[in-house]
Formats: sequence, C-alpha cells, structure tokens
Amino acid sequence: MSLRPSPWVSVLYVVGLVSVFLGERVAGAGTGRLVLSGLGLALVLLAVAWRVTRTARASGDGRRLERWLLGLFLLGGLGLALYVLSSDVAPWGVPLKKQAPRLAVVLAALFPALLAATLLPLVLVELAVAAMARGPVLEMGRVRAALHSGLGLAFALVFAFSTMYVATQADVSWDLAYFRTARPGEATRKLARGLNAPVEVTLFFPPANDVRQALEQYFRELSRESGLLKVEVLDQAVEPARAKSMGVGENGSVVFSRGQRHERLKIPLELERARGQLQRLDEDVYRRLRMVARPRRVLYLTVGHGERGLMPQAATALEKARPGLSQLEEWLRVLNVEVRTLGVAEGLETEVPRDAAVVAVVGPERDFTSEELAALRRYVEHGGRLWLALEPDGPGLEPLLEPLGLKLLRAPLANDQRYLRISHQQSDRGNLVTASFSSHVSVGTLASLGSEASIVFPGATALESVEPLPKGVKHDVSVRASAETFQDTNHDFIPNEGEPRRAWPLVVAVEKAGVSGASPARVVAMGDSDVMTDGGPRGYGNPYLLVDTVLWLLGEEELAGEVSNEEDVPLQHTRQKDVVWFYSAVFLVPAMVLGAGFLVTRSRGRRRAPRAPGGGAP
Amino acid sequence: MMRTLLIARRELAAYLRTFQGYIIIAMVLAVDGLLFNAYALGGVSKRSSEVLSLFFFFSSGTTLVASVFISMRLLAEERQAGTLPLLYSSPVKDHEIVLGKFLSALAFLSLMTLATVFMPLLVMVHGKLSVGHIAAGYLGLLLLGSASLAIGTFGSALARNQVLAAVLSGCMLVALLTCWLLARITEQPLSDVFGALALWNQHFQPFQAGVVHVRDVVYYLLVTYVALFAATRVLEARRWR
Repeated sequence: MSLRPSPWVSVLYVVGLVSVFLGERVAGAGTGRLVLSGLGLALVLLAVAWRVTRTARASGDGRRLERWLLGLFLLGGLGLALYVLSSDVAPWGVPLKKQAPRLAVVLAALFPALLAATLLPLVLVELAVAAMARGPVLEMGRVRAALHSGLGLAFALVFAFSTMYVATQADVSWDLAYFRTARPGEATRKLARGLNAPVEVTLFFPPANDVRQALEQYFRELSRESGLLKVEVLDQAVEPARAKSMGVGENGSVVFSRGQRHERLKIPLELERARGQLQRLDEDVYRRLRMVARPRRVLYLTVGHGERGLMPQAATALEKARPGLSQLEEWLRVLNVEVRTLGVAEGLETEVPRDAAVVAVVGPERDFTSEELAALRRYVEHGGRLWLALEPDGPGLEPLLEPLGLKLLRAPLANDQRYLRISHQQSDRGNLVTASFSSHVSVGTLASLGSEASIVFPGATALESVEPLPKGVKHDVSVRASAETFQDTNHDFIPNEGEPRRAWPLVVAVEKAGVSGASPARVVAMGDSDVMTDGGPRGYGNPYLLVDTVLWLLGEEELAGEVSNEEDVPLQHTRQKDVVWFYSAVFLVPAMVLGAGFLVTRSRGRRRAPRAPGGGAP
Repeated sequence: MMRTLLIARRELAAYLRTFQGYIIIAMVLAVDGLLFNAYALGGVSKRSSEVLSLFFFFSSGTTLVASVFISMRLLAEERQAGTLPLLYSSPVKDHEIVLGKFLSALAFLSLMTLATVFMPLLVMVHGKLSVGHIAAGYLGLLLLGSASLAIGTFGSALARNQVLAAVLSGCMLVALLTCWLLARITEQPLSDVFGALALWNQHFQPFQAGVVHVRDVVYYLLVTYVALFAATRVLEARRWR
C-alpha cells in the first residue's frame, strides 16, 4: 500500500528538537526548561511513533522512503539521548560529567554531529519528496540523491568542526610584526671608543634565554669598539656573591661598572615583556655608559621671565597651555647632565654659578633685568656656554645678542608649501619643516641623516647676523628654513605682498673669543623655543638638534651621533607628502588601472576587428 | 584538474578582457585609498603599526563587499542567461564547474587586493614596519576574500538571478560576521561555537596585527571548503529537485 507523502511528521519532529533546544539553552532552568524540554521530547516521541506507524502501513517505494526517514529520526533520537546522558539531567542521579568527565565530553561532541546528520538529510529528502508530490510515482533515485547530499553536507560540517577544534587546540602562531633589538648606534660606539678607563658590563641572565641572546649580540658588537669595554655573562643563581656585590638580587639585570660605581639596567627575562626595552636598548646603554664613563654636568634653566619650565603649564584665562621640557630633561639625563633652575633666588642678578656647564634661556616672555643681563654677558665673556631659544613675541634680549652680532627678527615665519599638518587648520603653516643644515658640528648628526631627519619649528622667527660682526665673533647658520618660507607679519598664514620669502636663519651657532685668556664662549641661538618642548613632534629630527647642541655647548661634540632606536613612532607628514599620498592613492593608481584596462581592451578589439575583403586594411 | 583550470582561465579572461573588470579594480583601489588617507593616516598622527592595522581593517571591508559583487555572477549569471544547461551537458563535473569559477574569482580578487600593496609600502617610507607584518595582513585579506567568495559562490548557486545572489551572499556573510555578537549573549559552549564561527572578529584581527595563527588559516580554508562543497551539492540538486 502506498501512502501520500506527509512532511508534517518531519515538521513535528524538528519542532520537537527546537523546543528541546529552547528548553535547554534559552530557558536554562526552572519550570520553563521543564515545560519546553518536556514538550519537545513528547513531540519527538510522537513523531517517531507516527513514523513507525506509517512505515508499517506503507509498501513498495513508500515503505523504503518511510524507513529512511525513520532511520534519520532514530539517529536524531540517539543524538538526543547522548545529550541527555552528557548533560546535568541524569536519570540515575549523579550527572555523567562528575562520574566520567571524559566520556561526557565525547558524548557532548558526538550529539551535535548526530543531529546534523539527521536534520540536513531530513530537510533535503523532504524537499525532494515535495518536488514529486504531484508525480504519478515516487522516484527513489532522486530521494537517494537528496539523502546523500544531506549526509555529505553533514559529514563536511562535522569534518570542518572537528578540524577546527584540533587546529584551535594545537594552534601555532608567528608574530611577524615589527620587532628588532636596537644595534649600537653611532653615539654609543663613539662613547665606547672614547673610554679612558676600563668599564665592565655584566649581564645576569639564565642560560638559553632569548633576551640574553639579544643582549649578547648587542654587547658583542659594542665591545669591538674598545678594548676597555669588557662584557661578561653570569647566571645570578650560579654566582650569587658577585651578583650581590653589584647590587643584583635576581637575573634580568645588566650592570655597568667602573671601579666601585655600578649602574644597573633591569630587563625582563621574557622576550614578550622585554620587547619595548630591547627596541630602545641603545638609548639605555648609552645613558648608563655615560653615567659611569663621564662626569656629571649641570645645565641651568633660567626662570622668572615666563620661560618654558620642565613641567607643562595648563591654560589660563590669559594664556594658552604650554608644553614643558620633560623630553629635553630626559635627553639630558641620558647625557648625564643634571638640570637646575637659575633665577634671582639662585643669584642670577650677581653671577652665574661656577658649576654651570650650560645656561639655557628657553622662551622668555618678559625682559631680563639689566643686572641679570650683565651677569649673563660676563658669563659669556669668560667662556660660558649659553643656549638661547627665543620666540617672535618674546623679548629681543638685544643687550645679550648685540655683542654676539645677532638680531632677533620679531616677525613670525610661515610656509604654505612645506609645513607639518597637526590640526589641519591654516595655522599649521606656522609649523615649519626644514632639512637645511650646515656642516657645523652642532648639527653634525642631522647633516649626516639629511632629509631623513627634518626638524619641525612650530612658530619660529628668524635670526639675523649684524654685519660687521664684533671682533672675535664667528657665526655659523646651522639651520635654515626652506627657501619658500615667508615672514607672516600680519599673522594670517597667507603670503602677502611685502612678506618676503627666504631661507631664513633659524639656528645660529656663535663662537666668541674669551677675555683675558678665557676659553672661547659658545652660544647657540634659536628662533623658536617650541622646538625644544614636549610639543615638538616625535619621529622628526628635533631630538638630534637638541642633543647635538648640548654636546657642542659642553665641548663634547666628538660624541655626537645617532642613537639607535627601533621603537615605532607616530607617522607625521608635511602637507606636501599628504597631498602626494592622497592623489597617488585615490586618483593616480586607479587611473593607471583604468588606463591599462583601456589599452588591453582596445588592443583586443583591434585584433578581433574583421579584415577587409581581399586582405586590405579593415 | 585540467578542466577546472580551463574553466578558471576562461572566466578570468572574461573579467580582464572587458573594461568592467578594470573599473571594479579601480573603484576598489580608490575606495581603499580614500579610507587609507582619511582614517588610517588622517586625524592625529598614529604609529606606523597602527596605520597598517587600520589599512587592513578597512581593506577587509572592501574585500568583503567586492567579493559579493564578484561572486554574484559566477553561477547565477549562467542560470539567468540560460547557459547553465550547456555547462551541465558538457563533459565537466559539478565540482569542476564550481572550483573553476571560484578559482577565477579568487585570482581576480587577489589581483585587486595585491594592487593595494603600494599603500603599506608608503607607510614603510617613514614608519617602522616589517615585510612580515604586511605579508601577514595580505594573507589574512586573501583568506578572508577566499572564504567570502566561496560563500558568494554558494549564494550564486542558490539564486536564480545575480541580484538575488548578491542579497543571499550578503545575508550569509552578515550572519557569519555577526556571530561574535551572538557569542556575547549566549553561554558556553554555544558562545565558543559562535565565537569560532565569526568570520571577521576573532579570525581576522590577528592578521591585522601581523600575527599568523594556524587556527585562523584553517578556519578560512574550512569555510571555503564547506561553502564550495555546499555549492557543488546545490548544483547536483538538479537531479532530485
């Protein structure tokens, strides 16, 4: 006897399974779970019973179809039973999770596979049968193909999930992002080369350690620079007494020793944690090496005239916020230079302290008193080292600049072609970018780096040499603005008539013969103080300008050079670069693709064009 | 295999011998370039690794969208034009048709994706990037593109016309993309399943950061395999539908 196809039995079965799912996964607990799961189970049982009855009543191909469907129902039922066994619903009281946790996990992985192997073929078989609902006979070949398709899909899914599980459990990863241990930079190499007494570097690391290997490589390279630099690797656990004598209590330290002086550098033992430090290792090494190899010097920052301080200043009703000089202080600390303040309280009106290696006047807003200026002049005349960083709207400090043959032009400078975009406002034109350096040693590193190390001067003015220069004074314009820079006298950042364009001098290095046998004085005058502050952009050559300036003022210009740093830096572009990048990415390259497409399709069209009869031109 | 490659070559030539293929590549390049300039490079200055990561983030979006548009025509166009029976009657197997068409679309998408490589190279000019990071990002883009193209091929096999194919593929991709949201609101072990299924969130972000996990590579390959398998089954369904 042949029965009419009845998809409702399968629908009932699927609804039952969905109800069980909702009860177990959505309701979770309480009456809701009991009702939904119970109802679902009842519907599944009802559907199975219905299918059994239909199988018994059917005959021929109909019976085969019912048997296949019954088989799928029972397979799903088995999946449901495995779920019950693996869940907290345990017919015998204690859940299987507690009795046999591994078996519970196996069952938990098996039941979804069985349900997939039930539901997918069930849906496809019912679709195949529905397609033949009006046909005179049931084509079992089509039903079999649908069944196989469903089973194939289910097996593919099971395979995919199992493979994914294995891949997740046995995952291997490779971190290909930028990471490189810094190599000894030119400045550190020069420092090592200039050692005049033995310096020992002791690495306390356990054997077979990645960080130790990276450090060994670095110091092996550095120790080639000087026979006075000895490098030794020790395990603190093996040599606790030596470690203790150097103040080291555990592995993960590098100690720089000269006589009884020890400087320690802590580095984590795990490569992941040590990454950042290894990227700027050269800077840390340079600092420690300098601390043990060179005497400490003092740089005095004048105060009391609205100068830039070490700490940033918050905005007030009258003044805008001003960045501090903490970055400069950091660099000076690397050079083993201590920063102290110098004002009236410290005796600036009478004399500059004798231990002053350099006196810096950074961005004053008010005039100095005549006594202070006189003290500074005397300091310069007796071979002092002065660093002046001035602003267009600050005092001119003429009494100090005139004997040096310098004049501060108060007009601010701007550039409409080569400037750094920060706020994307017109005022960005005041952020001058230049790579125009002289061969003076105070900009030696910058000159060697060339355009790779442009400097940004945010809001600068120019300095001018007053000819003829006073006797014994030598000038070197070490940094100039780019040639298209104009004097923005009306502060509108637009080049107007009467606002000349020139390669304005921005930094001037001055040497002045000392009086009565004193060593020559050195002065660096800058037309901008922001170039020294924390507001200066990273990734540009500003730090080199500051470090080389300090080294020249200290008379240690032979130690100037690049400090290797592999740390990632923020990308900052000039407007020119932004424009080039924008147009190349948005217009040029797509246009090139279109052009290539035009050429390809056109040449193809020509090739396919029919030839004229008789072999003439088409 | 030869027949698969023959179909792939023929299909790829169909993309490249018409001007439309170049228009698609140019449009994707322009959109990528715009997003790169406006968001990855624009605003406050960012570290080079962050810029690169943002570039891959936006490129993954354009890759997903492009894959829908590329794949929608694969089988649906044949069905719409009535040429599918011709393919059926030729001595090629269903899986060869699916694989050949998929490979051609993948080659086209790869060409389009690799055409953007000048952007990360521009970052290298001033930034500190490793070639490995760029390679990892592009591997991620190609795997994501492969998976979404395979899903698109499946959608194209299901649909009667190209528009419906795009809608179906889009829906499936969105469903897979939003699996991470489901992972948030469900409990274990379902949340783990949904989390692992999420097409972008869990599996693409490591590539963006320059980290290659075997599990992520396997995931995209498996999605590609299952989707292509399903597309083949759909083609085979003509025997029982």
